[in-house]
Amino acid sequence: MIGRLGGAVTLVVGLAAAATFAWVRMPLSTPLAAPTQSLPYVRASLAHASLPTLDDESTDQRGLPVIVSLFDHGAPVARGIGHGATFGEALRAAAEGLRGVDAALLARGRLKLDRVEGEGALSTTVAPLLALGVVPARDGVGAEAGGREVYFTVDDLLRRGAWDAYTLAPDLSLGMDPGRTLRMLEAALEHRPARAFRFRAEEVVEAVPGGTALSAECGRTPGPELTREHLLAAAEAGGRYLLSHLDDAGQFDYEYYTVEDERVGGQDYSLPRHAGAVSFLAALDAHTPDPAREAGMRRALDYLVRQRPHGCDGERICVGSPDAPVVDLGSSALSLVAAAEYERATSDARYEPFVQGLVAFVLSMQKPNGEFCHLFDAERRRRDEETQLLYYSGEAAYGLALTLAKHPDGRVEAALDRSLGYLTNTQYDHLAGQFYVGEDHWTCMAVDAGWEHLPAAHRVRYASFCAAFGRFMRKEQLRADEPLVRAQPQLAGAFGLSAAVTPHNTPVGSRTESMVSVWRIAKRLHVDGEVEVRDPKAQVLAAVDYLLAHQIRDEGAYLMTAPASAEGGFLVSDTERYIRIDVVQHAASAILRSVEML
Amino acid sequence: MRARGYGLCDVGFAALYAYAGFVLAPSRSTAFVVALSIVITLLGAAGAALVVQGDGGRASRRLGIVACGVLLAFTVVCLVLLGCSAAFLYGTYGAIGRGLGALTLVVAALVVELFGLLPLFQLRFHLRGSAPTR
Repeated sequence: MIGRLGGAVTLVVGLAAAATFAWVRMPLSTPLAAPTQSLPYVRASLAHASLPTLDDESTDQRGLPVIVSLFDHGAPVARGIGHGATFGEALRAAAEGLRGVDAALLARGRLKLDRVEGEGALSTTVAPLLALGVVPARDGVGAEAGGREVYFTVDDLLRRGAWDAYTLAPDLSLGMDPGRTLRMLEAALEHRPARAFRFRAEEVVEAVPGGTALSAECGRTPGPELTREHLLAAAEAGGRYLLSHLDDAGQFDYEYYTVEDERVGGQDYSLPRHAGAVSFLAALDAHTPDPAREAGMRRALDYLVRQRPHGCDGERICVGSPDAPVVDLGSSALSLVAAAEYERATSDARYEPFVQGLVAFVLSMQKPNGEFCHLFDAERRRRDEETQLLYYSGEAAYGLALTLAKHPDGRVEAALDRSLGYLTNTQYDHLAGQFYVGEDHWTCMAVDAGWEHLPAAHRVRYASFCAAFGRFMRKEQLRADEPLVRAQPQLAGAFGLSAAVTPHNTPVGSRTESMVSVWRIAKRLHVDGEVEVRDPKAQVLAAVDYLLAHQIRDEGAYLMTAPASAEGGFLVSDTERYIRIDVVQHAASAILRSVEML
Repeated sequence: MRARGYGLCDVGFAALYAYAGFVLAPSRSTAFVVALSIVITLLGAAGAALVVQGDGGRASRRLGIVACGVLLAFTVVCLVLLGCSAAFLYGTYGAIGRGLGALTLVVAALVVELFGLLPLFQLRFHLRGSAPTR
């Protein structure tokens, strides 16, 4: 009886799974042999010129549409959608949709091709299935009613900020907002959709108006090859982005929204991130000095010097909003990092009193066990012994380690050693702590920076922790040989868990900065080529390859309203299309630090 | 017949523990790695013996009891330490540690299922009924 029941249940479950799979699967057409020929073909067709060769003229299009859009200032200003039995027929029909577009607009706009290569079913009645049934930054959505079809390409969805909108839990949003998506489809159809679908397209876009066509995905074109020269150029471009978003008062545009061409500073301005951005500029300057950059760094450092509430002056200097009675350790610790990096890069001693004051403050925040207090009531001059926040202890250790290069001091060396003892051992000294690591990227950078000042007996222990940190991070890195990455090659090198969550660029940058330190530490203890050295290097190079592809360059910025304002920056993620200063800092710093590997 | 079933379970779970403990989520604690290795070795040996000797095996029964006893002790120690870990994380890190602490308790629940149930059922089997003849 039980056996029969079990068999029946297994059969029902199997049939339901098979039916669902058949419903949602999206068989894809054979890729085009020469997709980049299509856009010159469209241009020639619109100009009534002789048509160039189209190798894919007779490629089977399976009745699926070809969409040709004209982008101007980041927006699709004209679009033609064509159907046909072959690709050639469909392309010509799509080009006809652009006929009549103003010649000046056509001359200054970039053409983009979306050749639909497959469609899959999409539920309009079950909200989670609609929300999570579309692959972020890869799929478009469409609908049909009364014989009329509408298509929202992946670009349309990215421009609308359609992703990361379905809230599963507080601070956890994935996929699309089902209500908003349905309203968008209804508005375009002027009717309730009889059928909705997702689709995937093969994409190419002009690098410049009328110029070479490049393959496109996730709203961008492929990155440059991984070479030392390209890495250096990318780091320089990151530096230029930050300087171009630095105002006369020394404050950065905290966020820059690429679709809206909007610069945001104001209330959410983060002093730790400001200081972090300066520290990257200083590291870049140590590599390639530039007087204009140094002037910008001084403006940004002077801004930090002015951020001093009452109670943060005297011998112990702390950095915080002048209006706030409580300051956090991170603002002071990363200001110390920035000022120490500036001193190291330029040998300019003007910020030495600032550095010494910050060191005194950071030391005063350390507890006997090596951990730091993270908040300081400046008005009452009292430490908060309880509250713990992310990153601050590692940032404090890194700040102390960097100052030792210019200002060797036994007290600082001892404090750094105690701090690293806590960060690498004490905080994980319980059973669960032996199975994970936290956000310890600053910790391993501190071990690397302070290596020569650490007791020889402790170095191996800290190096062992950093090796374990690297192994843990490698488990989260998406590798080229994984099934997920084979399906979505653009994810290779990023850190992520599933196709439903688009990787964020900040952790790719910050973890990779730290992995360069892990590699350097390993090189001090192992022979080059051993697995301890080889694995972190491979991890770093995969990540910076990913970052190179994600850096904004004019040729791939067809979705940006003002590409020049975004050039050199990094989006928060493919689906969150704004740039924040810390994303640029970490990503460009990772790229710069990796240069020595090639 | 049931002894061979438990034997197969022992071998399967030993392999599962080895994969989880050495490949999927390795620990940085040497003590934990040594303890897990002992558990895996004993469980694997007991499983093989139970498969070979079947229901009547005296030696395999004794080895099975020892392996299950050690596995049960390992489970209890793990649960105690995981409880301490959750308390440590919550107590030390406050709001940040609450999530990690909750996650640790979820892991503890998984430990009960993956490590605790097999020795409980198997000990019940070994310790009741007539003594084996071989």
